[in-house]
Amino acid sequence: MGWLIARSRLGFALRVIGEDETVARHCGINTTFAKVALFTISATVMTLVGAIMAPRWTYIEPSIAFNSMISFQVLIMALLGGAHRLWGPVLGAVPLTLLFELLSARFPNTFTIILGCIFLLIVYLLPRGVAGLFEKLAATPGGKTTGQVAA
Amino acid sequence: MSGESETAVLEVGGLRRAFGGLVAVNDLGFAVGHGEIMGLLGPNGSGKTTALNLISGVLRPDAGTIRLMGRDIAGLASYRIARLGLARTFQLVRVLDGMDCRENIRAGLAFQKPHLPASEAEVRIDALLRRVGLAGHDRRPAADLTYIDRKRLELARALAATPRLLLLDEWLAGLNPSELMIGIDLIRSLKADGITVVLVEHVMSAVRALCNRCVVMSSGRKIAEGATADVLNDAAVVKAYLGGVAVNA
Repeated sequence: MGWLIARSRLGFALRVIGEDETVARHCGINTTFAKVALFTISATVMTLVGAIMAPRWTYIEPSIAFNSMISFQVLIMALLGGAHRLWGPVLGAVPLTLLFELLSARFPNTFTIILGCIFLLIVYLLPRGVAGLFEKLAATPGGKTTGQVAA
Repeated sequence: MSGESETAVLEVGGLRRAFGGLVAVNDLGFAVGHGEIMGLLGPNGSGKTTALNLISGVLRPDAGTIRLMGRDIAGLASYRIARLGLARTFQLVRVLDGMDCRENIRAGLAFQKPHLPASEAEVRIDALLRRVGLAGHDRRPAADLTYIDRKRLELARALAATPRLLLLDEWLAGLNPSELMIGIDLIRSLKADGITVVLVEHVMSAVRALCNRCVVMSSGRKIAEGATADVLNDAAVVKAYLGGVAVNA
């Protein structure tokens, strides 16, 4: 679905908005509509997932559904993988899901602070995620890069 | 004034916009006829860019009317105004750095109505690249372009929308003499396409070469209007430019 959006006029409109919203408006893009449309599409997916999960869990309450930790974990996964590439979040989701399971089992009390530290590390060391790191390595002959991506 | 029989492409009347206590545009009024290149002049801070922002919908006017091809556009969202046939460039060049030249121009035409089929759009993009002198650069990221090429790309994006009215905000500023000649020829050639131009400019040689008529602003007010040669010799205009006290014309 992400691939379809990226190839569509909506996807192009969103890329233009991402580059420069003022220019986007002067190109005739209804920026509000484009952004609401994207949120609607992604919310639809989440709604479907919720509808499938609810009968399996048999019990669900607002504090589970609107747990800020879930949103935060998803954000970290996208950032680690690289939010600007379609396969980036997948790259981030697999190792981080395993890591989160391990951490929440072994350090249940300090899990939140560890999560925050991971977030900081990713933002500082890998601003474009693993996908960005791969692209940088591919672009540099011999694969030598500066120290800041050594992590 | 040329073309009196035709309806004005742009008609502005009683336009006013204040930022707090500062009245940036005060009771501004003028009309631009079809195919005309009108100069909008004035010293720095006289309200020219604010006037363009009001016309293109970036800012809402506090009062006044703006008519594009006879239709009232005052306070309309800028994407609607863009679809009605108004395109502009910016004082500080704004190109889409993360995209290549082709995509930059495509951004200009992809959201216009009626919607062009893809093959026609590509042909148009090629024609625009050639026209502004960027042929062969189509796959180059906009971020890698030189200053003049960024300006060219911005103009191409504005032209991609096949505008009726084009607002150029100091598009010729910062060009060297030979680039200036190319730029002037490029703007002059727009007339043949039936594009009406409002030119905000400080390069007086370009204003003399291009504009048949000028409006001069100072401290948000119009202080002179008329044929370019007359306006540039007007006592009030000379005084405003040389740093005299605000003149009430």
